[in-house]
Amino acid sequence: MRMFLQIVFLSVLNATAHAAPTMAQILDATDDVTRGASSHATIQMQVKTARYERTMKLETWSEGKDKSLVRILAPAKDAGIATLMLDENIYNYLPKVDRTMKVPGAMMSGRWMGSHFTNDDLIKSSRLAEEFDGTITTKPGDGTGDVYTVELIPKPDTAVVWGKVVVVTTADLMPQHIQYFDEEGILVRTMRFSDVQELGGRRVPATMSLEPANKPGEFTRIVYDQLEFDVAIDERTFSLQSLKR
Amino acid sequence: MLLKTAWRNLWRQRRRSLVTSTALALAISMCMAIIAFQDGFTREMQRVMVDQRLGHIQLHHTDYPGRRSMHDAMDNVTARLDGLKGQPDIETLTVRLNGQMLIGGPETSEGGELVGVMPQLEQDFSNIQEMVTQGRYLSAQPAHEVVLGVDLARKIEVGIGEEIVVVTQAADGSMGNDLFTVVGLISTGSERMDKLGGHMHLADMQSLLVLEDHAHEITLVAREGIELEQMVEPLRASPVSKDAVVRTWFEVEPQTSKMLDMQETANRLILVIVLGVASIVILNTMMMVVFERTREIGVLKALGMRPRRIVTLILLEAASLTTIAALIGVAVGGLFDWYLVTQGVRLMEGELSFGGVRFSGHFFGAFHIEKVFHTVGFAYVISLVAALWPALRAARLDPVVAMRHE
Repeated sequence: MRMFLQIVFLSVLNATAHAAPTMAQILDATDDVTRGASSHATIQMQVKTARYERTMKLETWSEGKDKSLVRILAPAKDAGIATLMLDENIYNYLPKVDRTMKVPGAMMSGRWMGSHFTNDDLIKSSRLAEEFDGTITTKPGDGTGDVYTVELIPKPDTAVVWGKVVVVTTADLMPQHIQYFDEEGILVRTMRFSDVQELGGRRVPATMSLEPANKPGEFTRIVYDQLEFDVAIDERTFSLQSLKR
Repeated sequence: MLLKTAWRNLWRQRRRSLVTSTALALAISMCMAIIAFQDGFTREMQRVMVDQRLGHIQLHHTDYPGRRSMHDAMDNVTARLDGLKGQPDIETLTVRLNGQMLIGGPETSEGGELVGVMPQLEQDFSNIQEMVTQGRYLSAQPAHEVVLGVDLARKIEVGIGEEIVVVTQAADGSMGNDLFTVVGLISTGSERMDKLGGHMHLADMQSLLVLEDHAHEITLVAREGIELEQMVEPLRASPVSKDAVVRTWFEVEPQTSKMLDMQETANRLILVIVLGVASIVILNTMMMVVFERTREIGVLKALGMRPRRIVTLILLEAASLTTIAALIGVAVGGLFDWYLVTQGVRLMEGELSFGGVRFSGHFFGAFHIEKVFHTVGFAYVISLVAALWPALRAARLDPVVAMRHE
């Protein structure tokens, strides 16, 4: 959640940036944008794996970089399940058993609700400027296509799991895709952005698709139905007690 | 005639003959005791590591071995079980559906590996009910009950009669979650089971994982004396194993098989050493025999006794010693064996956990009459081999030189 919302913010802010942004501007903009922002959205999440295919309808809220809440609206079997992310912890509320459970450390690399996002993905908020060193390797107009390509290598002391991250955006700084490589330089997954629309008063890519590199044909696709930014959210939304609503 | 001479020669040195025989007799009886102990140990290992754990023959979905993915489960399990239940060669069988899940107590949760089983079959197969330390095993009917490993229950702080939440990813991608009541705690000696494991009813697991009428494993134990390889072939041809692989336990877990083989080899090595040491006694005695009777042998040769007969004489003396030793040894060894088989040996109080399985600390021996014959036979062989060199030396003595000896 954090990750794709963060990318949305990146694109949103950069849509209003001036010509010829520097890399520092891009990264700083991203970092600044996740600070203090809040959002509320409804999303369709489609998960396709070799074993099953399903679509969920979700409602999400987030504030800053430490608080998010996701509630499943459909399908009926999972409706009412809520996942709360507070700082580094994830809690799942399960209405069928009326219990809230904290996800233990050992299961943080597990998949969230069967999707290709892991629990870790939901929590981690990489601060691009602080945790990566980057180089802009292509620019619009240099003959390689109309895109900015930024290659990011994690700085030595950070806890980033990737060996390399490559961000590709259009000339007007709308993200196209992001590739994540492991420490041996092998592509692990790709996040694709498409379907740029006006949502919540800004231009955002309404469809994002996470594709694992080693499983062709599998993906987790998020489509924003509704999206609002900088909304006032009741503090109590991000509490364990209100999970049980 | 030679035999009578050999026999009488023994008694010319009564004490020495008796000491030699006794030494060999001791070795024989010790071998018998060691064999009984080893065989009892091996039988126990076979029982605990194979019969009650791996079973004899296992059926899995074709893709299951190796990755053991939850999704690779055999379908139509009820029909498969019906197909198997009729078979006369099967002693016990059990069905299992494995699930990895988050198990939540009142305050904390732990990852666990629970197994959906049919309680009655499972008890007949592995005597799991004997490992229940608190509470009881599962009811025969599905009732949202669970038994947990003792260490797991302790970590999440639940006791008998209390509820746990179980959360897992189901086969259709949805989130399986439900409440279960802890009815029993088990302590198996296997760290993995005690810290991570537990059982629930197969039907409960099937609905939790959205894998109705599926199972990951069907395991069979064959009746005593059945050749497993022969049993496997018809199973592979039968519809019971459609889209499934049928394997013997040693195909499933070759390392256990190798370990048991190594055990056998090590056992034999011990016996060889024990009897080998005893044979040195024989060697020594026969060397002395030849040395002391050098003049006598010289006379015999001068009188025309052929070398071959001299060799035979010495060997017969050794064989006679061995016979006495065998009689005494088997008698004493028989007593040891009787004690080991009926009373057993308490190596330690309580139980021994080793290699992930649990043995009782109180071992009983196992007796196989053919092993007595092997032991005695081997004793004869080594004593004759030990006596051979002195015998050959005796045969090659020059009569003239020998008669002048001493």
